Amino acid sequence: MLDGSIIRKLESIVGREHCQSAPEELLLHAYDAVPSAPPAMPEAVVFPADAAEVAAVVKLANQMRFPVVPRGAGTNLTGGARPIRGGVVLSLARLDRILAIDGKNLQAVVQPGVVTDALQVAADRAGLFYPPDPQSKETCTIGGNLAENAGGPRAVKYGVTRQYVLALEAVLPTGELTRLGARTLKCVSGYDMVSLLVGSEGTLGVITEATLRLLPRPAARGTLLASFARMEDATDAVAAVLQAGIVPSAIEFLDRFAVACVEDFEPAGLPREAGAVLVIEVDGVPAEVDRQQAEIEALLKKRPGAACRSAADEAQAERMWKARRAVGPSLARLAPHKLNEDIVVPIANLSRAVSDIHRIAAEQNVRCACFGHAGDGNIHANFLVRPEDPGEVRRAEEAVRRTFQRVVELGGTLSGEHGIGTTKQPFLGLELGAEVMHAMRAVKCALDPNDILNPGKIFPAETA
Amino acid sequence: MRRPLTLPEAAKKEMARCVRCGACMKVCPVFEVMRREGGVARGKIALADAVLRGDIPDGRLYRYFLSACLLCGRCASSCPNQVDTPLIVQAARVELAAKRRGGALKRFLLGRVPSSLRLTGLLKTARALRWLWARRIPRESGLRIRFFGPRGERRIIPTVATSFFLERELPRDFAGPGMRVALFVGCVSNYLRPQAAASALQSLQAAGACVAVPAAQACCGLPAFGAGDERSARKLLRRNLDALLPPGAERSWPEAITSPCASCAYMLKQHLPELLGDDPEGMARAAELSRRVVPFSRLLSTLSGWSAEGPGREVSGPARVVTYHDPCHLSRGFGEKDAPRFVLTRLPGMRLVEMEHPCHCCGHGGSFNLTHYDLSRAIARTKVERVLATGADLLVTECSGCWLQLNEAMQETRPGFEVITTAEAAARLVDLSKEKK
Ligand SMILES: Cc1cc2nc3c(=O)[nH]c(=O)nc-3n(C[C@H](O)[C@H](O)[C@H](O)COP(=O)(O)OP(=O)(O)OC[C@H]3O[C@@H](n4cnc5c(N)ncnc54)[C@H](O)[C@@H]3O)c2cc1C
Ligand code: SF4
Ligand code: SF4
Ligand code: SF4
Repeated sequence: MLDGSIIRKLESIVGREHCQSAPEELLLHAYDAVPSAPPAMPEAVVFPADAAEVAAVVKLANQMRFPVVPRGAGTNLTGGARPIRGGVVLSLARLDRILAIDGKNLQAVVQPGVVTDALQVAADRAGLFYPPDPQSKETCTIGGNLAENAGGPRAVKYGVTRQYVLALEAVLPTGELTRLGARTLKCVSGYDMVSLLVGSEGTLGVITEATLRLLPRPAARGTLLASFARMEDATDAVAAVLQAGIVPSAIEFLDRFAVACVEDFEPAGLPREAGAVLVIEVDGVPAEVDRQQAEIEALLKKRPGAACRSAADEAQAERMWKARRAVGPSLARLAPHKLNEDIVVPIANLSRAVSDIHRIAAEQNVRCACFGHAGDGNIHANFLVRPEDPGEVRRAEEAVRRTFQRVVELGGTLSGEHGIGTTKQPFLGLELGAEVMHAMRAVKCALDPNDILNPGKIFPAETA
Repeated sequence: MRRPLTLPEAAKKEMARCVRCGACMKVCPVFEVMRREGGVARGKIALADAVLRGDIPDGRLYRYFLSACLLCGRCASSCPNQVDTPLIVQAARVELAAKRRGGALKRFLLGRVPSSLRLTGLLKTARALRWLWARRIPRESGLRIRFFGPRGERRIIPTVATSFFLERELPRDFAGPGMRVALFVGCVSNYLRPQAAASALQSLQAAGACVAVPAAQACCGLPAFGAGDERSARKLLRRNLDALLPPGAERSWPEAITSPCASCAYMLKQHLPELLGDDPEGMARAAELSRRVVPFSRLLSTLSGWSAEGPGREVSGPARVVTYHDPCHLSRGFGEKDAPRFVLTRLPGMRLVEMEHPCHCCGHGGSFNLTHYDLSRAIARTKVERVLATGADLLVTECSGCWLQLNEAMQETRPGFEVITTAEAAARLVDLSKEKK
């Protein structure tokens, strides 16, 4: 599809060494963090140096009608960075500078290829705080976070990436370089295009720069670990804490399976007999932290089957978080491959959702662990699979389908932070009505009449 | 005994567990400077997997990315699925080397140097001078690979010792009381840095060991092995096995074997039994040898009764500052980070200050510094910055490869800066205690 003359034009835009079409380089940009999704080879990979080069590449693509798939670090969990229709992968790896940390306005200006953790460190050095904290923050990029509207444990108090975006510079699918939003805390001049682009999975524009909101760094943090005899007691306790008017900076949930797995592989002193465990964090000024911590402890101790303790110092807090972080790696020890779904339900329905997921898993005869950001109703339902056992893979896929069905019935959503990509395409219709889907396609069509940017993603194929 | 895997075996055992999560990106020193997917473990695994399936050819870029690995193991130690990338890369290299018959090693190493570079007159002269230097170092030594591979002419070459360590007057057999320790010298200590071996000998003797330096020992074979030349590596290892545990002389076998170079020690401990595993007689002896290998600082600490750090972190007031670089083969290979610090915190009047990421590879990595000279230099420069940030006056490490690399890099930035091995630091302790008496 890409003939030699197009490759030469791409080379003249980005420079020869930054346009690659050797098979090795194509393969290296054919996958993301979904091992079960087959690699999809692009026909060329370009590494533009700046927004102007990005715009020129997209403009050429729109003229010559070839797909362009933006790429950050390739860590997304829904197959979204794979060029399933060939064309060009546009890597933002060279746009990796933090342009400003502006303490006066509490803002940062960054290029999309900046690794999330690098921004957090830079903000921290200036006494500031960039809250969105996907667990992959040491590897994923801000561009990828914006395109997926990534979140993390802190979302319960601080929200997700969207809450921190003030303005964007982006290249539209037809190749125009534009600025959206304003470098102000409020802006209602016209449609909220910033929100449209955030979470659009690279289908509506290539983000080339972002102005992000920062907060003052909280002075103190406090951490608690609570265990519950029954899983429902834990999920109910989450709602109880929030109803009491306390907003922790994180409420992380581990079910019995996850606890056992951590204790089997990376013992952290979690109570194995517990039906579920919560790791809770509060932050703020020191007095406020102490008060919240005491209130939560008192509240939880009154609840049925609950035991709760506060970390006395940094080291104890770190041990509690280490237990939470060990869930992923220890599940991997049990079974490297899993179907990982990040469903969300209204918190009042959390108990129902988690117990129904476990029931579905049992009926489908697959191993399942539920854990994650219970504070905002976001649970990672992990179904463990052995790829060499096709029967098990099929049963797990059925469990996923039934889980989505149930979650939608409970007023929830398919994805809190990972996006739809290709892996959740078949299920989007469960959640979105035909009219909404039609409206979304109309938006895509209006901005990208030739289906240039990341084609074939989000919307299911048959109605395309 | 674990054998080096063939690529298909590695695929089944290791590659299948990689879930492409990308967590290795945050720890890989090559990726840190290269910023290309092919630099990191995930990319190398994807490539090897695709080549094995026949999806892509094993072309020039494939060889480039597979050689762009330090085998430092940082990715494996932080991989949630514990994928052993060094094992995979090694298997892929062996396969590549085997395909290029005739001077496999050299072809593998030289294959990627543009011929235009090799033929210019200037470089020819530089190279000729080097060959004069090299005449003094035997053909099979790993050092030849380092200094005469591509870009050798750009290196600062350390002066060759006036007398090679192994040619000196040395105890060859065990005579006298004390634990019987065989000292494995290694090429760098033999030809370039004899004081490292001499210091190891001296400090072990002072700690009460009965040390012998077997005469017939050879290069440990690591440089050849790292380049995928298993045949040469096997040959060297067989010689070392016979030198250290002579067949039929069980009664005079050492109780422990050590080396001032942790990489040599690791080669003997880990790769020797793997590589010599197919010959039944050799196998038993290889296992015996492996069992006896102890890293230098650990052995010295055991002999000296040190089980904790000395006071060297707390020294207040003006003190000279020492900092320590953890060699990959010691910190991850042997899992040993404590013993070198037991030694260094006992240096009087010196404060041990840790650098940022002391376990980050120095960028030497077997043939890596040949095939990827510029990347290797970039990694070393990052290391130098971290060393200087501690305010150190002295840099210590426990591997000859690290020593070569760090010494070269430090001399470029701070001529005269002292870089030594743990053995030399230990010998200073001995000298000082003598002065006191
Ligand atoms: C171990 C692990 C843990 C994770 N934990 C979390 C978590 O806690 N929370 C969470 O939200 N996610 C998590 N993720 C998912 C993933 O890290 C996020 O989706 C992240 O935002 C992806 O960033 P990336 O740079 O890797 O983007 P990529 O994977 O490269 O791309 C993702 C999508 O964004 C598009 N894109 C990338 N850059 C741009 C740009 N500049 N302009 C327009 N579109 C662009 C791509 O086309 C693609 O569709 C996790 C992933 C892993 C592997
Ligand atoms: S960390 Fe391990 S599993 Fe993840 S991509 Fe790297 S090698 Fe693969
Ligand atoms: S062994 Fe070291 S250099 Fe090689 S991929 Fe792993 S971390 Fe990178
Ligand atoms: S550092 Fe030198 S070269 Fe290693 S011994 Fe070990 S090999 Fe022979």
